[in-house]
Amino acid sequence: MNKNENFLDLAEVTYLTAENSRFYRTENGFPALEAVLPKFTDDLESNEDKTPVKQDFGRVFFHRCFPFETPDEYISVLNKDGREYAMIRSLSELPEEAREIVRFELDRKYYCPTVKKIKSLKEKLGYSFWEVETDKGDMSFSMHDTYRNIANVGNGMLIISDVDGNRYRIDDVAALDRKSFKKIELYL
Amino acid sequence: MKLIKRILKRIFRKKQPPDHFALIKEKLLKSVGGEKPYTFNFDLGYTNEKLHGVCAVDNGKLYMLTDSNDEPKITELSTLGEIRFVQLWGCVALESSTNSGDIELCRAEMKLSSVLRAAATKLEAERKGEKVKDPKIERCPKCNKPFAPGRTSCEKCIDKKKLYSRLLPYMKPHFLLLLAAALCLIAVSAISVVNPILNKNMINNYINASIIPEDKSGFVWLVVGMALLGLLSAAFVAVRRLVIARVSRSIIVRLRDDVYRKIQELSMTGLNKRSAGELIQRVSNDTEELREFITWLVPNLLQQALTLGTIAVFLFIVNWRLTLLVIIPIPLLVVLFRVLHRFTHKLYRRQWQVESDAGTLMHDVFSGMRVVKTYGTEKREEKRFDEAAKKIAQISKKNELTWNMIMPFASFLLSFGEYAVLFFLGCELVGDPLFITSGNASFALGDMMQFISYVALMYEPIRWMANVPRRIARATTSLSKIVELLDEKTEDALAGEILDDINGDLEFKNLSFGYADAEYVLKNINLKISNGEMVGFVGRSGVGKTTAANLALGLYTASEGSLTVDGKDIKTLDQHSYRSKIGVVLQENFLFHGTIYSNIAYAKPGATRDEVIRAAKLANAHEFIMKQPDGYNTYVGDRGNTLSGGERQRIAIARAVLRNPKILILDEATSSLDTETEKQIQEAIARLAGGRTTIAIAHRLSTLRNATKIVVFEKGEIEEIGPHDELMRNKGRYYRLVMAQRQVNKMTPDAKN
Repeated sequence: MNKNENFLDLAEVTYLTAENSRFYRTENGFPALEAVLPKFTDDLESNEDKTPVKQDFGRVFFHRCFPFETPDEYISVLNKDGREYAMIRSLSELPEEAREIVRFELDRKYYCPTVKKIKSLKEKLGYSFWEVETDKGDMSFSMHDTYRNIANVGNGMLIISDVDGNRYRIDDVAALDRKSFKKIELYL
Repeated sequence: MKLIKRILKRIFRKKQPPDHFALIKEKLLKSVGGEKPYTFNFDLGYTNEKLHGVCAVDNGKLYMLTDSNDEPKITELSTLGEIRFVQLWGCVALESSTNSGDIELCRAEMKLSSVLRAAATKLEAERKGEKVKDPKIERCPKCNKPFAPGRTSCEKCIDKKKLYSRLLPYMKPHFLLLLAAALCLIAVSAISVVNPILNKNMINNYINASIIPEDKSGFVWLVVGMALLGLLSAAFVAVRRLVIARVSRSIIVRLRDDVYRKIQELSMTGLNKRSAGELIQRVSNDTEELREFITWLVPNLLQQALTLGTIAVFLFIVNWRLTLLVIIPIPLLVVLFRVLHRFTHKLYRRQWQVESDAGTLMHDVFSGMRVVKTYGTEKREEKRFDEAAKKIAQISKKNELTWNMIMPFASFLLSFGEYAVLFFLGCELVGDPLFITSGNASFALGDMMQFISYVALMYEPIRWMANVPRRIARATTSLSKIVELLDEKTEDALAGEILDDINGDLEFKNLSFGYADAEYVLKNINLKISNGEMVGFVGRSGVGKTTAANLALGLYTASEGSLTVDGKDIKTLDQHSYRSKIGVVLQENFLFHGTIYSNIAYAKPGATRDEVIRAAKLANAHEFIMKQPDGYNTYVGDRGNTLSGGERQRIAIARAVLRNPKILILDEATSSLDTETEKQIQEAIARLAGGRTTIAIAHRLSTLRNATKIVVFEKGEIEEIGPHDELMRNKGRYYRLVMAQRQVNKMTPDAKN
């Protein structure tokens, strides 16, 4: 082993690119992947042979590594049991068609309406009740322990989790209109 | 303005928006035709667009209708593969498969996740042709919203009146004392009203009288009377405080006991939802808030209201025109105070938040000191704390500045009414009567003083009451949190049969289990463990081994299927008596603050010293305990941190065997021990195993050398089951695990076997 070798070099991350992969849709519209990767085996068999071969994986699943900070970068591509085939470093590295397939599926998996305006925000008995305008239409929801359930992700972006486990996003809290900002200010 | 808005809103609200789901359901049921088919709602489309949709199942067919199509989509359930509930991010879905691969049936927001999960189970049974009851989803009786698992109230529909009636049982036993306190209050109010009358008489008849009467004894009596009233008032106040102090102590003790008992009775599912800090908050802070409410806020509110009412009546009698003048600014004052409070509330709330943030930061760093030191990040942490401290300083400075700027002027504004009275009455006195006082000729200096005292007396309660809504809101919040906790289902709600003795035959029957709302951790487990068997659970981490053991312990109840002990469903047993037959040793064992002796004896109150020493010997703990200067009386420190991991584990083993349990559960129980000690303990357990049931979870497979049966878990299911030799012959997952470990063991030359 090389003396100067970094620990981190020992771990392998395979990235999907336009050259080594092709995304397509299954008959029912789910994303699927064909890629040139080291042979993917069941976890019971060990596989020492790392030479990449072309394989059709069928339906694949996506999971964002950093859903808040870089939703379009570092996306893990998994099988149905959650084992990773490879990663997408950035959607921009994929060809147009693949990018569309991946983004379509990500939008389906990650459901997070963007709040445009806060119409009403009231507090009662330790719960807060919100009426908001989002890109998916008007919504109302309630929150418990409001202060702790508003995550400040950075750059003014907030992720709000309600009592049921739904998530809502505010892209830039400072860019909200004055009235909305006044309402949410208390929890920042 | 606000009032008009509210009224308009109420009128508007009467025209409730049409219930889209109900309309679609009606339409759907028409085309289904069957009698009372099972239906459920969903509210998202394929690409997460909001919609209203209803599904119905009838006669092996799935009908689906949304507001975007006219005819229901009909699917034959028999053409589908397994119907799965899929947890996505912020939404959930039902998926299945057809000949052409996976398909999605429908999706919904998290609000409906319990509905969809139940639907998945129902549909899957229906697909297989099994008849199961329609799943029952607990809903809020008022707004029909499905409850999240474990909750019993819906945050929107809490009834305040009902909430407060929950406090009555705490006040009832002290009814007489509280009544006495109320009488004291009334007396104090009355005295405060009488005082200005004496004052007036004194001024009018003596101090400022045109003819000073010959007999001065009346004057002396007035002074004596005033002094006596003062004394009486002090006495009433003292009695009231004494009574209240006594009542409040007993109320808070009862409240705390009730909350504490309830927490202990909660099931693990109920406990997992809350952090230890939150529970401590319930027991200490919320109960304190309620005590203050009962014993301080309510009586004071009564007193102030009483004073206000009496004085208002008095004033009217003395001079109604002037009284109107005094009353007019009151609504204004109330508004002013509410605005002021909303403002200061905001300020203090922010301060409270940054303070609590700084507290969290400190807690974090102090408990992680070892990490901070090894990574040399002291400076960075210092800076973080410094920033937090500065933020607190900055906000509190700003708050105090605003507060101190506003309050004097606010007080001035509040006493403005007094100046007005002074002005009008003064006009009267100096002989230039204004219209308000004209017609009332007998207005002397004494009357004026009386009047002004009353006005001041009246404004005081108003000032005080401006604070009340906020305090009531706080008390209500605490109360609703406590009531929510008290109303939660306890595990003992299901308790039943008390066991004298058990055989220890465990059977998992088609058992599935998931924590809270997450996906199932165990799926369709079928497993029989008979008395005398030692069963090993193996598999990778996170495949459900520990969960299966927790279910056997009765800490959680199966989501589906059942778990029986000696043929009796564990749900029908008294949990306490059942658990008293079980001994458990975990990988991380919690030791209570106390001595080694008290920690071992915890399992069996009243155990003799001889028994404790025997248990310790069996667990190979005796030897190391004897090395401690204080022997069994050694204090283990906070959570046993003065002992090593292996030592803690041996104490836990001693604790478990002291009970002489019929069922022994060892979850990585010997993982922190050296091989030699482990071997000794294993042998001791094997000797005992004869008449007992033992479940052992282990990663180190050599631990299971005595097991009569090995169960291999994978992804929440049982992949393999059988004795060691058979599994080795089958060359499945277990064989690979053994081989892999042998490979590793080869590196250590002394571990030949």
